[in-house]
Amino acid sequence: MYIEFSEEQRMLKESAEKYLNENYEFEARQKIVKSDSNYCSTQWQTFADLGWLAMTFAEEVGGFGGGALETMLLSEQLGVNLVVEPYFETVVFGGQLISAGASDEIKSRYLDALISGHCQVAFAWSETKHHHAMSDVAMAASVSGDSILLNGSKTVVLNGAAADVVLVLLRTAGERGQSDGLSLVLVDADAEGCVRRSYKTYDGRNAAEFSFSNVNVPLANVLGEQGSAMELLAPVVNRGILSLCAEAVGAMSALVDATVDYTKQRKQFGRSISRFQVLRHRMADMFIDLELCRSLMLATAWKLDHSDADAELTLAALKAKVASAGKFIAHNAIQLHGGIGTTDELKIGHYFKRIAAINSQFGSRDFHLARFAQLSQK
Amino acid sequence: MNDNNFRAEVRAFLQEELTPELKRAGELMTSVFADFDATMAWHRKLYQKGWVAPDWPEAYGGTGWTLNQRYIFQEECKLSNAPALLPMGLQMLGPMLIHYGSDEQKAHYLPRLLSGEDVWCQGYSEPGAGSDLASLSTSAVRDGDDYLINGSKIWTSYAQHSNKIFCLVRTSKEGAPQAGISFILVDMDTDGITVEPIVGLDGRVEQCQVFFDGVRVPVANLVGEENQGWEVAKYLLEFERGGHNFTIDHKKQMAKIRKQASEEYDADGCLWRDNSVFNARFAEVAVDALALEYTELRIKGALNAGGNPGALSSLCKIVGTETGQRFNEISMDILGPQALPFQIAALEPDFEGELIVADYALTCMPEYINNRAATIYGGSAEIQRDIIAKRVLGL
Ligand SMILES: Cc1cc2nc3c(=O)[nH]c(=O)nc-3n(C[C@H](O)[C@H](O)[C@H](O)COP(=O)(O)OP(=O)(O)OC[C@H]3O[C@@H](n4cnc5c(N)ncnc54)[C@H](O)[C@@H]3O)c2cc1C
Ligand SMILES: Cc1cc2nc3c(=O)[nH]c(=O)nc-3n(C[C@H](O)[C@H](O)[C@H](O)COP(=O)(O)OP(=O)(O)OC[C@H]3O[C@@H](n4cnc5c(N)ncnc54)[C@H](O)[C@@H]3O)c2cc1C
Repeated sequence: MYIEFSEEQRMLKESAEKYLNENYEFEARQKIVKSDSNYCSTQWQTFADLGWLAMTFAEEVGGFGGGALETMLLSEQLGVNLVVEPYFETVVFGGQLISAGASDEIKSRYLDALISGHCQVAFAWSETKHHHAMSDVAMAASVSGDSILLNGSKTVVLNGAAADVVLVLLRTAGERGQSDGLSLVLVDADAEGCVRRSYKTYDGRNAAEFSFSNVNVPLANVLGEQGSAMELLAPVVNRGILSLCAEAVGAMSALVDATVDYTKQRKQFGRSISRFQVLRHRMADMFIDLELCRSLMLATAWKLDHSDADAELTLAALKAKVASAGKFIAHNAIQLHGGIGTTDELKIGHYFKRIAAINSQFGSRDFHLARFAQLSQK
Repeated sequence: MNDNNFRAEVRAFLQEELTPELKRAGELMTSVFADFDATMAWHRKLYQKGWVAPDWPEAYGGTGWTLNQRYIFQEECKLSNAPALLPMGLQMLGPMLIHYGSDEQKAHYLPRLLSGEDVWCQGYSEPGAGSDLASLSTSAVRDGDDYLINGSKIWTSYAQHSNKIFCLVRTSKEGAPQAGISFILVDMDTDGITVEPIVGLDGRVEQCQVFFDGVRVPVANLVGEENQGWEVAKYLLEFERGGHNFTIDHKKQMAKIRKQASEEYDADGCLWRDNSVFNARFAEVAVDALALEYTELRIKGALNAGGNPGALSSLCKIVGTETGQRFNEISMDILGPQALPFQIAALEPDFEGELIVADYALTCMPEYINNRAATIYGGSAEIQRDIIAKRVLGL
């Protein structure tokens, strides 16, 4: 398997690199993070104008037909520049769910707006004390006639503060612990009875707690088959995990570069600290881990695009490896910077927090190791 | 008094004096420091009881307790969530002054330190002098009966709350760098001192940069002789590095993880405490914590017999901090996305609003973040390993 990027893919990579390196420097990023909404609508509009938001949608709905590889290329660069705008939540997750599961009418209402930069999406699934598996959802909704009534609450809904629409995972049948019986419902964030409490997250992004009391939604807002949300979700989750891991790889590569640079400049005991062998070896190990992750990332993207039988196995390996490598690289980037690495002023710690946030979503290392073990027995 | 009776006496005192507000400050600790006001309120209570400096000789205000009793006291305080006292004065400066200070210095500074009237910060590190402390360049130049100090100190913990700072300054450029350093006590409100806060990764301020611009300090504020400061500084560092019982920190961390694991559910919808992978991982770290506990006890035994911990204190610093960091990682995995909400206002003990996530989730991320510094300050993990290599293994 040798992955050669197409001309379009190379252009996407170069355009993302060029635009973000010129317009999304760390200082600019920090300004956005410290603003009230910690989200920049001008940036987002530019992402739309550059075609990034459309990239991975089918041509019929106004996209460019990109797949996992395009998602990966863009996500990696978003990771390098620590972009806080919700590409992951709105496009990779929300957009793909709408595009795969919504009726034509809903698609034309929301997807056009999303692709042109005018609609933000959040995926609301996790519940207090139950936030490690989607099958662990208990919030139930009742269906009567052609409408559906929502009651309950969702916690730490990422991009929840900015969201115009929320995709709520809930039960129309079965009980907590079962994969069957889950439905995904599109709800307008300002629908009557839908209340959110917005806040920022440690990685400089936004989220909200949502509560729903007697929120009435047309049955047509159910994405995919009622009671079979997991079927709709599976491929989107897979691509989502790839996207998060690619972002982490971008962050890790920036950390390795910054640490190598810093240790060459920083002098203690009359020489650059990069001369100390223990630090040289540490950085060599950081580099090794980064490249191992990159290999798994490329393989996973390729396998997802080709619906390869091993795609999920490779994905589990990737998420598990990114978890340990991400920690190793981020922890040591701080360690090798010394005191300055623990400050808000340097970008090092912000990469660390983003990597920590990525590690806390869609399965820990232990979770994906277990999944890997299970899949490799098949 | 036997240890059990002693423990009962400590518990009775804590029961009485550790108010809910003070406990809250202890619960909300996300680094080695607690909320400043709560810390000093607790400091004064212990002072009134005569228990503020158990590690000091009795003649200077210590308690005369045995090592065991001192350990029990620390353990009971920590596990009942008392806010930690500031170590810069009580653990570092005090014992050093007792050893090196002049009679006037002892008579003047020690009582004020004990009562909490003076709050001290530690001015060692500089932008250009971290691990290589001896290369420090903040200068003190003799001018009559004063020194004129110029330069800056960085990473000075709680400088924003302190009225005094003890500093290492350069009084000579002759000979080895260590030979031109002096130890001096400075009033923070002297003209020419400015304090710039440094925002940490958790979004809060604990460290500062302190600038000295022609700061005039009496020569009488030197501790020890001019150019003898390195010896004084090293004596103080022994107290900074030794004397800390990491085991007690680990017990507090383990109690918190057990609580999380008995309330939160894993991906199979089972409580974490019934998850065998989690249990194995937790046990693996707990085994290292236990091995460290017995190492600390061994050191205590050696001290009791009049010995010296030597390089074992480097071992404790390495294993103590790295084990603590591993516990943080376990908590992060249990809490998943629940660790992400950024609600720093709720980390203030007097916060009365509504929490976004459970109490034990609120502190998880900032603890994880702040604890990365534990392998950097007080001699980094690399420097400590070097000490073992050189002093123990003779390399
Ligand atoms: C199974 C086997 C097969 C071999 N086959 C061949 C063969 O076919 N032909 C042949 O010519 N040789 C062969 N060798 C020899 C091999 O190349 C040497 O063992 C190797 O170069 C290491 O040299 P050394 O054994 O003298 O160890 P040393 O060089 O003395 O090394 C001892 C330790 O010090 C470390 N070390 C050394 N220098 C540094 C440094 N600068 N920084 C950090 N650490 C350092 C090493 O990593 C090692 O851990 C073989 C060796 C083995 C074990
Ligand atoms: C939270 C916090 C609180 C602090 N509080 C105080 C305080 O109150 N007062 C005070 O004076 N200071 C304080 N410090 C400063 C602390 O003592 C220094 O950060 C520490 O000495 C390391 O120095 P540095 O940050 O300049 O890192 P550097 O010395 O530049 O180290 C950078 C990296 O190089 C490594 N390194 C350096 N030399 C060697 C070597 N010879 N061999 C191998 N590796 C090496 C280090 O281990 C580290 O990984 C605090 C620091 C922190 C983070």
